Amino acid sequence: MEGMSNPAIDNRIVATMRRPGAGFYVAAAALLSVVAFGLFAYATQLLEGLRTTGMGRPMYWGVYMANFVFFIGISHAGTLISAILRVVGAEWRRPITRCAEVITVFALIFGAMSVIIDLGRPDRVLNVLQNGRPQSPILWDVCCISVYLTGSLIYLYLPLIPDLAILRDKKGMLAPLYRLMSLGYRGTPKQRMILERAISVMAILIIPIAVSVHTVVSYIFATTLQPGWHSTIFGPYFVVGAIFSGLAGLLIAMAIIRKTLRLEWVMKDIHFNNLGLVLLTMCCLMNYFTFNIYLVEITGNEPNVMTPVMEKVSGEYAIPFWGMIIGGFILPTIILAFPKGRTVTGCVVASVLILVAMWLERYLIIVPTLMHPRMPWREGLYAPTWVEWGITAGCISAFAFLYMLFARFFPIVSMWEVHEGVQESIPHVTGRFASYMPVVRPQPAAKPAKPRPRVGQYLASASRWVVGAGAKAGCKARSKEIRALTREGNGARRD
Amino acid sequence: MNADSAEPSGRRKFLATVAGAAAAASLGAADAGATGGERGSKRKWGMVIDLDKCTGCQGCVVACRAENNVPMGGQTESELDRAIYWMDMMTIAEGHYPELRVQFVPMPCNHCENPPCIKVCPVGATHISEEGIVAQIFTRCIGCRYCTTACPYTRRYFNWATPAWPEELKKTINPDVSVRSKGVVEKCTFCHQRIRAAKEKARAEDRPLTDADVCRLPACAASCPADAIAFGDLNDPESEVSRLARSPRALRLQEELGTHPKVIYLREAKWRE
Amino acid sequence: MVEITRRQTLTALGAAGACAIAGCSKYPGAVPVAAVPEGWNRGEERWIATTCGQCQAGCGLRVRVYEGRAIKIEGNREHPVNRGGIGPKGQAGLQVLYHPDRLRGPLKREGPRGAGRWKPVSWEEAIGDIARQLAELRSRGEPQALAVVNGEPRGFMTQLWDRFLQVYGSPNHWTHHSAVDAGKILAMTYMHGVPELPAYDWQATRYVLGFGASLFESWCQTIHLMRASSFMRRGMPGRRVKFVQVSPRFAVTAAKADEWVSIEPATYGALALGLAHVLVKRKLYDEAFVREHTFGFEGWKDASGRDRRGFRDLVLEDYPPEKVAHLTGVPAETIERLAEEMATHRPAIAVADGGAAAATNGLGTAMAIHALNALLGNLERPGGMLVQRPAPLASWKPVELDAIARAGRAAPRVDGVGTTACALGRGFVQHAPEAILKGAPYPVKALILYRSNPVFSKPDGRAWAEALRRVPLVVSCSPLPDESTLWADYVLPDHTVLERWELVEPVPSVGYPLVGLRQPAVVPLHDTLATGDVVIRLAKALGRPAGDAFPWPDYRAALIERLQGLLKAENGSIAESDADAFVKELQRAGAWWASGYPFEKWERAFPTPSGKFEFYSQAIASRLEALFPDKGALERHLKACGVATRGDDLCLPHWEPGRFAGEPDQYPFVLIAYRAINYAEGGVRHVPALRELPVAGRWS
Repeated sequence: MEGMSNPAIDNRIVATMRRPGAGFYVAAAALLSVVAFGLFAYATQLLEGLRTTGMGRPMYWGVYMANFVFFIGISHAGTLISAILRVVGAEWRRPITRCAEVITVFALIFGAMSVIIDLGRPDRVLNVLQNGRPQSPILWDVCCISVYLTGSLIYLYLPLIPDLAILRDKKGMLAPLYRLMSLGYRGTPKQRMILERAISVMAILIIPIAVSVHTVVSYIFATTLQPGWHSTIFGPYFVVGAIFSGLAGLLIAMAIIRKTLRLEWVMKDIHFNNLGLVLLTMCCLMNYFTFNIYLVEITGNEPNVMTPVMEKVSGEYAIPFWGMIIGGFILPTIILAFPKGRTVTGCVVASVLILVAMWLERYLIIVPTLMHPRMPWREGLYAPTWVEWGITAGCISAFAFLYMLFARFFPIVSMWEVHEGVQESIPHVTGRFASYMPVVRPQPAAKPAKPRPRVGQYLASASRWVVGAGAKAGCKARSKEIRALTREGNGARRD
Repeated sequence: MNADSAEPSGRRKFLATVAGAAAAASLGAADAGATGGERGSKRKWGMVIDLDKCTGCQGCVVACRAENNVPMGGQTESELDRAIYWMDMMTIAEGHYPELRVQFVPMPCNHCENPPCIKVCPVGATHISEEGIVAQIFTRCIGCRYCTTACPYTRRYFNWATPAWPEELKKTINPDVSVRSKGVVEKCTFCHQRIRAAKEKARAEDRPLTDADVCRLPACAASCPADAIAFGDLNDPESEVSRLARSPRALRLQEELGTHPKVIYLREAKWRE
Repeated sequence: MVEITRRQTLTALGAAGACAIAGCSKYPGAVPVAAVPEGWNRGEERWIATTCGQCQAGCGLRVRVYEGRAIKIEGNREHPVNRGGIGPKGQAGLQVLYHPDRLRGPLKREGPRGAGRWKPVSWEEAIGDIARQLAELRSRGEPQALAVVNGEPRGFMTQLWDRFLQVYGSPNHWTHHSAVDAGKILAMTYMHGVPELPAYDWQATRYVLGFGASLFESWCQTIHLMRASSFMRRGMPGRRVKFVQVSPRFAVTAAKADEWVSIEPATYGALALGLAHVLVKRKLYDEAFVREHTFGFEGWKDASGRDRRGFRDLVLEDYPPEKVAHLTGVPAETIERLAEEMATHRPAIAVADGGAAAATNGLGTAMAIHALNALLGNLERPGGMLVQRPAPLASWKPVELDAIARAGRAAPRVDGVGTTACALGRGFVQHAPEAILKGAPYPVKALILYRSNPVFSKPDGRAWAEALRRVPLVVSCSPLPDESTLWADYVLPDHTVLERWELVEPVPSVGYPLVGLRQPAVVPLHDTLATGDVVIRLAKALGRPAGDAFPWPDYRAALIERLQGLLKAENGSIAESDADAFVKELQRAGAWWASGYPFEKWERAFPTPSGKFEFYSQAIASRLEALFPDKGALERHLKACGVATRGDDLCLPHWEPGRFAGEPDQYPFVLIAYRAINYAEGGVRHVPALRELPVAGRWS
């Protein structure tokens, strides 16, 4: 960004939308063919019923439910992270909020869809509205997910408005669409004030909603009496797991965007480093929670609970289980603990490991428990069928395709926020830093240029602790972040 | 409850017309017809299964499937444990040769007084009737299988495919029990259609329903060659089920979960000098 | 109704596209709302009392028939055999009735044998063709070349077939007995003088020792026994009958027993004799009973003054517990304890199973187990072993045989019964394929299969298939296509149990006279014909003299004729003396019985040569004498058969090691054929409800 004017930034970002290369079409074709296969699989399932899956009694839930939890988890990547970063005023967030928020919207759609795919009578899904029982955790999920989806859409849309206005002004084929969507935004101070206030309100609102979503997802399991599910730790465990997998998803998305759209100039190594640090924190939390769960279950030695636990630790599911623990939890922790691991490559490797592990984690929550219900039952084996794999692959591909499509029609980097950062963050940040320091002599000029909303400030100081919590690494990261920002700031000032 | 006694003939006529195809949907109505004459004393249907008498013949399993229009699973589906048995026979094996112990446990739905399945249903497709029967509304069920998962006894069943009979075997379909569709959950109903019929018969004869009327009423109890299954009103201290439930051999499965099953087992005993 | 509106809503939504709707709207279509058959009103239901035929226990049924469709089978609460209980096989009768594979009418083979190409023919044509071929055979003077394989070895159909074969002139009526429970019947025949399975007084017994008796799986009176066991355990407050199961295989019955004793295969006889040893040695047996009502316990001198060995000497000398423990693998202490328990908990019953006697030492084994009952003095006594009293049915007019028939009947039986090939047995169906293939003693030229599928259910099915191919005329009466029917020339499909008339004298269970009525619950679904009617029509088509022996218009009339005897019987369950009223009541009740077993009628209890229970069977002795007049012949025969026992022991309960096919080091395991509750000798294996039983299907 050094030496770049606002229009220059805009042009470079808009250029990423206007130039779909051959790669785009090849990727789109590949993804769409997988989607078509997934649709075919689903059509088969609709016609023949769920007998086309590998499920049975007592394996009443399988891959679809794992997908549901997984996608909902991924959805926490965006909005939640973006909102937290916004609230704490982490300036480095600016180029990555958009691509995070988009993940949320699409992942939520596929999460909700996974449940409908799992239904025996998808044609009756509206019974949930007509005959809904508020006592059922599924209904809590319906409420939370729909609120979260609505909130996320608004939260994606609001910061998109100024960018839509920029696109509208650039004229082009889609200008009418952009005009319609930009709601007549012209960037007047009043409009801007309203927009910023709306964004800050949404940012704060979305955090508890997001937390509630994954909590109630965990309640689906935790409120039953099934061994291994009926646990008080499930709510926070699922939330942490969601942020964990969501961050991993975000890092992968960022790496791909940066590479394919040549956005290295705006998504810098420092972003990966910083997100890597947050991810490291989550790694530590996941390890801590996992340790907690299994230690308590094993020392409790309740026979019903022990059966699925032992199946995971040393039985039929030992390979995926230990693969998940070692490859998906411990290995990423080690990678991310070292600054050399928090490079783009390091982050992507860790993230891929984490994503696979987190899918397995959900699978291993559902399958071994259902395989060993409380009543003694014949040992069975659950092997997902091509229909289940097909639909899963279809969902993932459709997700990727929609994401690609979004990046094709909307700026994946928030242009106006980058402008704003370039222009305003230096005084803002230096002011903020100064406010932390002991007052040596009165420096009225160093006061924050523009006070942030009061609630936000309050939350900011709390969240700052959260984000930076846990490790020395975090502290180090913070000082590095400051150095980095200052360097950039200096550069900008020179400009 | 009153609607029924107000115009019993009308209801009966209606039932005759519909020929029972809508029987399951009218579960609630069936139970409403319950008390007939002696209103006020609420019934609580329960079942006692004497494991000492049971010989594991599985007559109850076949009787249940025939009575309740449960289709055959077929080889592939059975191997995947998708065959439906509202009344199942479970074997519990312990020990190693030659010190072996195998128990046979007929397993219908436990009709818990505090059923975990009902709590989780998102659409209220499963409910507990006034007389304690945990029932399923097939036409409302969305097939999410949360209840099947939440049941600590795994006694609920899902229609993985459209239930099908060879053309000729369709003739054996019981007109009193509705046929389910693909993708819905189903379960034991304590043969509520038989309870309803017994109540109507008693009312037609202008007498209260007695324990003798219901003691062997469900298809499983009626067929049991060893008379190991008794059925009746647990709220009536004089009924056979209440008498048997007071036995020191009585146990309920997984009582510790607080589900309060209304199926009571009598422990198997061995000969002692 | 709700369905449709939902579906419409969905259509409007169009959410998952057309295929979603197609997929979700596919509904099985509830009850087949077919036209109500004649004689029925819409919504009408009737309960028909009849008798089960899935096995031979003869349980009473009540069939619920709705608008002419049989929709449920329940037990008949009045019926003394099952008192309302009914097992899985009985209830699966509906799936036999409505089996999709049932043959629609008589078939004639087209194309080569076994090709499975058939031409539907009329009953007249089929019976006419067969009668023509049989008449030709008979006119050539070889009526003995006709054989009937009868899979239902008791009852009136057996008598009808027998009658037919008599007037036709063939001795070859082969039943499945020898493959099922012949050992037990032979022991009864030779020791008790009664060629029938025993019944037991379960209500009053105090101890049951089962020798491989699969009481709760496939015994001949399984349902009756389940009821009895329920009473023995919980029917008498404060008292419980002990049930000990001795078997090599831990099956359902062993699991349900109070105690399971594991034993080496084919050594039941040794254990029984070991128990007898303890009973005799410690004087725990019923001395008074043995003294007064048995023969051959002590040694004796025969007419020629020769010393004969008695049962006492045999068990005392040959079967000390230590030796028996070595042979059977049952510890000597267990043997002592079991004997003591049996003696101190009288009346005690020792029960054998057909399977227990299914070895090369079967007869001796069955006799040894039977002898225990005599030692404990429980024959013809409350709580002991009973002999089924026959019902006082009228008999059919005796048949008159013409010269051809007499000559044919005089020919030896192909399966070797009554010859040295089958010296003591009553049937040897296992031997049939070999005899047919050899063509000895003479070739079989016509074979009728009734309720029999030997290619599937008999040992060495391939030999059976080969043998069937060798017979010029094969007729099967199976209502379903099966492995044996494949080789037939004509298939004359029988009615299934729920479509036909029959009188049933079940396998002994209650002891007192009992006749079950089997009546059609539904009109026959297809163009089938009860085999009883086929036999009558066939005889009539053969013309004189065969036709004269079958004067009835149909099988039902033949049965009704026999009911006459019941009208006059004392203390029968149906008091009506008017024939019409009697039949009406019989049709309502489903059975006739005369309860109350006359115990201790010693004068007619043992129709043996000595008039007593015979430890030493004089019948065996005389039979062996008749077949092997000189000593050398018997010796040679025994040697050729590999029998180790010699002398008096042959007529006494005895044991010798079983002989198994194959070298022991090459084949160290012994196959113990067993039947789970869902299979009756291969007969109902194609019934889905039975194949899907949760335990029998998975647990073995």
